[in-house]
Amino acid sequence: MTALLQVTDLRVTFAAGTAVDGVSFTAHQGRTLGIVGESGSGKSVSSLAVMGLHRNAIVEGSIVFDGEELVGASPSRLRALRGSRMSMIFQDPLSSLHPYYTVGEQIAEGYRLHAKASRRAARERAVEMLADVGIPSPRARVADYPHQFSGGMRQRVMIAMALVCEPDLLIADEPTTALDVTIQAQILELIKKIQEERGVAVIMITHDLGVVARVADEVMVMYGGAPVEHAPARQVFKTPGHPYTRGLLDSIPRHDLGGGGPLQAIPGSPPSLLTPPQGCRFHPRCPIYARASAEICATERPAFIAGLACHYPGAAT
Amino acid sequence: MSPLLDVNDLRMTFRGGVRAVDGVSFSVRQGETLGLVGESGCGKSTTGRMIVRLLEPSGGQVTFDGRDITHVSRRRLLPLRGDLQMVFQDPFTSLNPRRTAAQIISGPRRLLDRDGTIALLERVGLGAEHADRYPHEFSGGQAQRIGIARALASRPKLVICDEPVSALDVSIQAQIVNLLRKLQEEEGLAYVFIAHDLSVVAHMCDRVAVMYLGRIVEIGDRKTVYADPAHPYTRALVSAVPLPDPDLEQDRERIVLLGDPPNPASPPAGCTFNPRCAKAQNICRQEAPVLRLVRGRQAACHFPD
Repeated sequence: MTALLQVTDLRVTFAAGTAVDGVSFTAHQGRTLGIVGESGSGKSVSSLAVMGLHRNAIVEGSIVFDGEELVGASPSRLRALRGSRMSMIFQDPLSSLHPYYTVGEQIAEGYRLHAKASRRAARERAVEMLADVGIPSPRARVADYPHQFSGGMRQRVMIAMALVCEPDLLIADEPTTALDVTIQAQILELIKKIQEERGVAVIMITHDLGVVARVADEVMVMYGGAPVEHAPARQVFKTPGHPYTRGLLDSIPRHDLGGGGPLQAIPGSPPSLLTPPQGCRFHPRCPIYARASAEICATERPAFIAGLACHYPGAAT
Repeated sequence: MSPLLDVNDLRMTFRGGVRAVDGVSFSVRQGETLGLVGESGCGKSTTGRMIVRLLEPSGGQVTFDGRDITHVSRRRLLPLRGDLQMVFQDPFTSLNPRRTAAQIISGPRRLLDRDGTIALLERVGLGAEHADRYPHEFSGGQAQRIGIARALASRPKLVICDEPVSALDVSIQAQIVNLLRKLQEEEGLAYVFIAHDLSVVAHMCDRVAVMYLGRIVEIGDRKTVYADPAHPYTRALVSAVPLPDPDLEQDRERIVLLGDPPNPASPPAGCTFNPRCAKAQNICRQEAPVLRLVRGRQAACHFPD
C-alpha cells in the first residue's frame, strides 16, 4: 500500500518555542489515522503544518503528499492543493464559517476556484453536497446563513465544504468536541460513511480516546510535541506500550464499567513547550521513572523505535 | 431524615417566553451526590444557578436545610451562602485575576487566617508556595483546585459543581474527580454535580437525573439508570458516549438520534422528545408524560423500555 501522505521528522518552531519536535506518520487511502494528545501536545500544529497553514513558523522535515514535497513548496502551489486535494474541518464550525455569506456561496467558492465551474454549476454542486451530508431540504437551505443552522448542522456544512472538490485527504481537527454527544455520534457516522463511499484518507485529531476507538485504524499518541506511541488501534488500546498511553487509558472515566470508584489519575500536568523537561518529556509524571528512578529517563530523550519512545519499552503493559 | 436540599417544581422562564427549566423536582441528602446530566440547553446549569440564587426562579420552591430560600432577600441569604457554595466550569474566568490565591480562598470576609488558608491549599493538593501567586500563574487544573478551595473555605454543606472538569485535559480531569470525592468523604459534603459527560458523572454520583429541554426525563440510582435506562433518551445518550475500546465500539448497539434538540422557545407538543424518538406514538405528540416509577427509578415516558 503506498502512502498518500508521508510526514518525516517534522519540526515546527515558533518564536516562542518548538511546538512539534520530530513527528513522522503516514496516511493511507481509505484509512483513518487517529492523532491523540492533550492540550499542547502538538497534534493540531502538526496537521496545520501539513496544510501549510502556519504563518511565522519554521517548518522543517519532510511532508510528501502523493509524491510531492510540500515543505518549501510555494504558497500558490499549497493554495492549489488546499481545498481541492486536501481539506480540513475544524473544531468550531461557527468561527470557521463566514457569517456574511450563505452556506451555498461558501461551499461553491472552492468548487468554482478549483474546478473552474460556472456560478450555476457550483450552486447545483453545493445543493448536492448539502444533501450528501444529510441536511434536510438542501435546495432551500443553500441560501441560508451559518447562524440559521444548529451546531451539528454547521459541522455538516463544514464537511460539505471540505469535500466539495473530492479531496484525497481529509484532516478533522477535533470535529466533534464542541458538539453534544448525540450530535457527535451523527457526525462520526457521517465521516465514516463518506470515507467508505469515497475512499478518502482521514486524519482524526482529538483528545478523546473514545472517539479514536470508534473511528481509527491506527493511532498515534502525542505528548509534549512528539509521538510517544504509534500502532494499530487495537494494539494501542489493548496492550499500550508507553506509560503515558497506559496512564491516559486508566484515567478515563468509564460509565460502562459501573463507575463509582476513584479514577487512576496521572500526577502533575502536561509540560510547557517553552520549558520542556530534560530527557524524556514524560518522566516527571511517569510511574516507571518514579519506581525505578532511572537516570537515563531524566537525561536522555528516548528515540522513537518500533512505534514507541520509551527507555523501558514494555514496562507499561 | 429530611433532605438537605429539596427542589420542588422549579421553573425558569427567560424573556421571550423561553422555558429553560420547566418544573424540575429532586432532593439531595446530606453527604450525597446527585448528578445532573444533559446536553447543552437542557437547563441543567440554569437549575444549579437557581439553587444558589445566582438566578431568581420564576416559579417553584428551593428548600435548603429546612428553610425555604426561593425568594429570601440578599441580606438574609448572606449567612446561608457559607453553607451553599458553587464551583464553576472555567477556573480562570471565575477567579479574580487581581487577587492572590490566598486572598481568593479566604474571601472578602476573611474566613481563614494565613495558616488556615495554607492548610486548605494543602488539602486541595497545592502548597504554601502557591499562596501568593495570581491566577495566571497556575495551570488549568491548579486553578480549579483554587476554585474548589474557595468553595470549601466556609465549610459548606452543599456544593453545586457546574461542569467542574469539562475544561480540563483528560489526565487532569481524573485528578479533580478524585479530589472532589476525597473532600466529600472528609467533610460529609453533598454535591449537585452538573455535567454533560455521562462517564464523569458515573464516577461522581450516587443518583443521577437526566434532563431534556428543561425537564427531568429520568432520575434514579446511578447503577439502575446506567445499566438499564428506561427512557429512550437516556438509552440513546448512554449508547452515544464513545468508549475507549475498539472491540466494544465495533460490537455495541448504538442508537443515533435524528435531528437536533428542539428550540426551547417553541417546544413540541406532548413529550418534548417525541420528534427524535423511535417509539413515538400518537399519545406522545399530544400528552406530556410525567415522571412515574419504572423498574426502580422514575422515568417520564409513555412507553418506557
